[in-house]
Amino acid sequence: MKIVDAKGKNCPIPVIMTKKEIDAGAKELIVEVDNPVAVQNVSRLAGAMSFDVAQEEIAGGFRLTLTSNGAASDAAAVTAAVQAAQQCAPGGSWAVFVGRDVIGDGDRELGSSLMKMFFYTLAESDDLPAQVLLMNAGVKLAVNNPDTIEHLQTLVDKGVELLVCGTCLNFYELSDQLKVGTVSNMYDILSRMQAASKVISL
Amino acid sequence: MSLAYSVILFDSTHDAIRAEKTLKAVLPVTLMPVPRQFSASCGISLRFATELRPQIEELLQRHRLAGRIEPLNAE
Repeated sequence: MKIVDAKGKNCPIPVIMTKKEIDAGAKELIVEVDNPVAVQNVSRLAGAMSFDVAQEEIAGGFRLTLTSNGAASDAAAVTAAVQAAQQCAPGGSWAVFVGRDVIGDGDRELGSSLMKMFFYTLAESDDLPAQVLLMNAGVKLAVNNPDTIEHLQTLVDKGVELLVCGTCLNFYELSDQLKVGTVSNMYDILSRMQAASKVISL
Repeated sequence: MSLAYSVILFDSTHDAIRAEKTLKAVLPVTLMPVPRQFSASCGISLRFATELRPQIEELLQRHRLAGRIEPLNAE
């Protein structure tokens, strides 16, 4: 049986790791976590995805054995469980809004280097945003910049939601060239900003 | 994956940006902020897999790029 070792992982990572395995088709899996909040969050997700949970204490934490009960998963409950897990990050969930393809005014080449380094550093960090939101020229970071595409992919793999403005992709005629992230719209992007406890704009 | 990495440090931001363009055309290098332990340099560094060090050194020399290489602990 697949064992997901989420000990030492900050909230909401244990939930994201568990969801990834279930989405990939696991019917039975073991998730190990090191704190009661993670037990609660993973159990809530498991319930929403129609898995039964058996819990036992192990050295340094808890072992949860998840077994599918065959029923369909409840999409709304799954979204709620993931969002609840994101809220438990220290300081609540936060988002990064990027409306340009460079950081700051001044030299574009320097601004482009700074943008690459920002996403490299963010992707390596332990405190991740719940979302990265790309608008206007910011969408190009997910289309034609190999460095930022790589860093954005790392963020997505770690459970960060990447929403890319579809209107903007269309405007720049890049709709069929998106390399990473989900095409989105003003409603979804605004709702993520409203739910976040802070939004950092670049 | 336990690949060891090294970084190239520069005294000037312009050198760092020029080196990125030149090296990237040939080898996989990643622009990153200078790691905290090497605070005394321009702020932009280039990370590469240590196994590429001979090629990197050769390119730096050939293009007269003023960079100094330091090992970066994997992990």
